[in-house]
Amino acid sequence: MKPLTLLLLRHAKADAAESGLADIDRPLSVRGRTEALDAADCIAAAELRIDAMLVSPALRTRETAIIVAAELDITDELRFEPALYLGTPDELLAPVRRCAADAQTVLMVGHNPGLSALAQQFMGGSQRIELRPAGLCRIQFEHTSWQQVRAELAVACTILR
Amino acid sequence: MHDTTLGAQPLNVAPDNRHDIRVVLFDVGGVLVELGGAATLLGWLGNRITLPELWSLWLRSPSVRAFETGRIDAGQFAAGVLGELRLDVDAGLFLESFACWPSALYPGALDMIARIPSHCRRALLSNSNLLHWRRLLDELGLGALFEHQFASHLMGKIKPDAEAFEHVLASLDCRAAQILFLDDNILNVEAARRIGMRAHLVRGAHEAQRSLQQAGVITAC
Repeated sequence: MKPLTLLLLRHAKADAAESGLADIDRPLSVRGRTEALDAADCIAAAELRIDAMLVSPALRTRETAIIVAAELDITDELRFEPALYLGTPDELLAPVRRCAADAQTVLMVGHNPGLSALAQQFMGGSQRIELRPAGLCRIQFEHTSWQQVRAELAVACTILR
Repeated sequence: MHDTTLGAQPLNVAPDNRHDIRVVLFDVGGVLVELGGAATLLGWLGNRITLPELWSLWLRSPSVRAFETGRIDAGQFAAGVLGELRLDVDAGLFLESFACWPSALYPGALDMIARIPSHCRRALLSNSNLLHWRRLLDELGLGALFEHQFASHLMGKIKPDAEAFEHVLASLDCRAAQILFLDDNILNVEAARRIGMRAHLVRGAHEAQRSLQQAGVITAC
């Protein structure tokens, strides 16, 4: 079995909640757009080739994902997963477990607190993790499939930014 | 990682056009041209909504859609929008203000367009209307800079509908993947990606230029 990599990317900085828009409709701020580019550069610097992208349907995650996809020349369809919008760690893992077997590296673009809680689980739960906007965490697995992925099977968990 | 600087190359030559981009397709408002005017509208609304809320309403407005697909005239558009926003403003005054929304080219836009090499065709795809289009082409000078100009009110097709992109694709006679599309609205970018175009979300000429460099269409200064 090939090793698998799950990347957790928190959306970049969004416009303030006071914009009057519904939470799901908040766009990235100007700073956020730059942060998204920086996150893409970080993925590229780590020489990670993304095979699938799972994206929360919120505007700020869609904008983050589309900026990252463009920067990394990813032309495949992004997969929008309602469960990623403010889901619990267990809910976040459900779409991961449905990933195709030939996908070796999967990028999930989502939100706190779920994303940080998921990263914390993969790190063994002893260390408090708080992904910042456009924060990126890499989780590596060996000898498993996406269908079976769970925290105990992670062999490494690294905050990349 | 995507530094395309090639010191020995002339500025307008892009040998690193890695995706074989044949057409650069620009949205206009928010990418090449600054859109003003919203402040006036917000003032008329008594600032009871925010700017993002206004844009959200605007993009969903049936009257805006009808006007930008050429199905109603300016008078009907004004009456429709004023009704939707429950605004007690003279229609003539509203249209006078609306006509001036395209305020100016973003700084650096002309230079960026000029740097696109001749083997790449330049095209516009805009959700526009009869009040803005002549101003964009003639007064702001975009007409002379683009070989292909696609305006929603002339096509009868509007972004992000797939048929607008299909119309452009058929007219340009190239593969979707050979088109680099730059727009500030994610719905339009997502729609363009769905039919196979390379599409980047950008706001203003500075971000557009960065995207052109990233795609290898132009080289960094």
